Amino acid sequence: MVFLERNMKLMASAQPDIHRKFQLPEVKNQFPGMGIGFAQNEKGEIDNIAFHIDGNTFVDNKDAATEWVTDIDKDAHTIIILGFGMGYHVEKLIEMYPDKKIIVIEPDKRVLYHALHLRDLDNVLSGCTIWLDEDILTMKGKIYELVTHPLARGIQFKPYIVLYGKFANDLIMEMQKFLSDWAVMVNTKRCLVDKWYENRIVNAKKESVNAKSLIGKFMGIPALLVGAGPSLQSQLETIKSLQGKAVIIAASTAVEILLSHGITPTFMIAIDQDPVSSGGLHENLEADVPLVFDGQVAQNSLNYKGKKFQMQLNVNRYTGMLAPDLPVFESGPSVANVAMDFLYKLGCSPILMCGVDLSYTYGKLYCDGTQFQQDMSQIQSMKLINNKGEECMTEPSFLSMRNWFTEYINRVHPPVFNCTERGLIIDGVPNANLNDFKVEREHDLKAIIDSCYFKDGQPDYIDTTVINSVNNLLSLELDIMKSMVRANPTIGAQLQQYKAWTIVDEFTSSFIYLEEIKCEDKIKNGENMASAIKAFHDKRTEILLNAIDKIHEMLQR
Amino acid sequence: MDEEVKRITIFKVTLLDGSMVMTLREDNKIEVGIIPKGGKA
Repeated sequence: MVFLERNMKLMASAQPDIHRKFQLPEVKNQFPGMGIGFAQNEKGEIDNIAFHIDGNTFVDNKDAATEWVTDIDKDAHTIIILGFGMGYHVEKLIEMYPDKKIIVIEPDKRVLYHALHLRDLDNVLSGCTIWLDEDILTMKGKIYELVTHPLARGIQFKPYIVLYGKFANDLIMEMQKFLSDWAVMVNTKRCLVDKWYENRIVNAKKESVNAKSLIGKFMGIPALLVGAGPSLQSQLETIKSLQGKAVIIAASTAVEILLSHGITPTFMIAIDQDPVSSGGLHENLEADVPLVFDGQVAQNSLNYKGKKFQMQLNVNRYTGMLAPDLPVFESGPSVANVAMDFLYKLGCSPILMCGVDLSYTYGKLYCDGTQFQQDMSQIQSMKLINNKGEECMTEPSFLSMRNWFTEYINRVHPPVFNCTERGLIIDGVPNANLNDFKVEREHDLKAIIDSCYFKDGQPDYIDTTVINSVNNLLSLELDIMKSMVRANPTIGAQLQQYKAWTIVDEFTSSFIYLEEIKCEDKIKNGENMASAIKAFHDKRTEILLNAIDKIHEMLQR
Repeated sequence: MDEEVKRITIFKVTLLDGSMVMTLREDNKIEVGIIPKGGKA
């Protein structure tokens, strides 16, 4: 019991954040079912921690540490241990794998405090990183950084299930979500980035009003975020009765469904680059439904004759250079995700989600009333339980949308309820019945929108006169960058001084990421390192030059 | 996962009873799968 002062001193230099936590009274994690105390050995000396759970007592076993570290994956660059105990297993791991990064999650501050009293922790405190007494959300954020870092290739997670079973399962679920979302994001970007930029550059020249005029103008007015999911069918009559009382926003295909059932939404929102599924919806639409869009939307979507409000997704690195005061909304895997951020920023409350099934309810993708149906043979389906406790079919892209909602809602705390009749449960969003919301008050929503759209009786269009000069400047920078890349295939940081680099970077990053992985794999499989790296640099140069040429051509069109 | 398709492992999370793997296919598509302990990617 004489080690506390010495360990604390070492911790102040080796792990200052953890040391600081011991100076604060705040405790985030209490595990009320777990009692912790000192344990005595056979000689009556206090030398261990006793964990009391469900009537059982456990003590840390020094002898088990060697066996515990035998199944370490050689490819894991980081090992995350859940549960510090007395730190014997951590010490053994540091000793056997000095090159691996070792992170120890100890959710309960009391455990580490006991260990600090009981043994010399010199090697442990200086050889690992401890995450102490963090709430699950903070922990998830830290793990997300580890899992999705472009240079990360593998981690091993070793939890003490007996003590922290639920905590461990929560973290494993999160890791699975992170990987799925990462995969969806890279796949989408790889396939669509050139189309996004082509559309952004062409669409910037078209007439639209800055959506910043809408921000905060609907404070306290209820909103319906309407997706096109099959379960929307049963709610169409209720939604119809809420016209004029709530802001109704149609996410993509939902506009066609709502209009075909006699409902005119307040807004339609579109970010999809596809000229058929997106452009086909909007270009010949006769109804008066203001379109809110990001520049990446299909070019023929902007043939829509009605009001058009332009916003900017936070991943769009071009449009903001032309109109720096566009409101920025958070991009997500689906337009429904973006619609959530849009409604929150309008000031709407509460926000009620309908038709956001995120699953193939009744074996269909969409509610009746749309020309679009999906070829169900192409989907990668999986089974989950929906909000009615029934098995439902879903797929990775739906899970990615759901994960986005959960992360956004936990971070931003918008007043949201999920009124989708049948669909995936979205963690963090209470399920509710749409009919339980008494929405009686009428609002002149059209008058609010008109006041945002017109100035002196004319549409208050964004000034587009700067476009040519900005495009010319970017083109000039691209020419310089092209010469630099040709002269030095390994060039990196110097390119970042150019504004145009942000566009080239977004355009090329996922392709270069995949080439890095292929290069690593070649080296791992015995190919000569120098030649593998040279081949990577050649490929990177080719990708950069192709992208520069493409963007240049788009800007000068 | 289709076992006939060649893959490169991009990221692996090793767990007590198996692993989660993110792989790159020859066609540049990224997939995520779960492999039980002793199973093949």
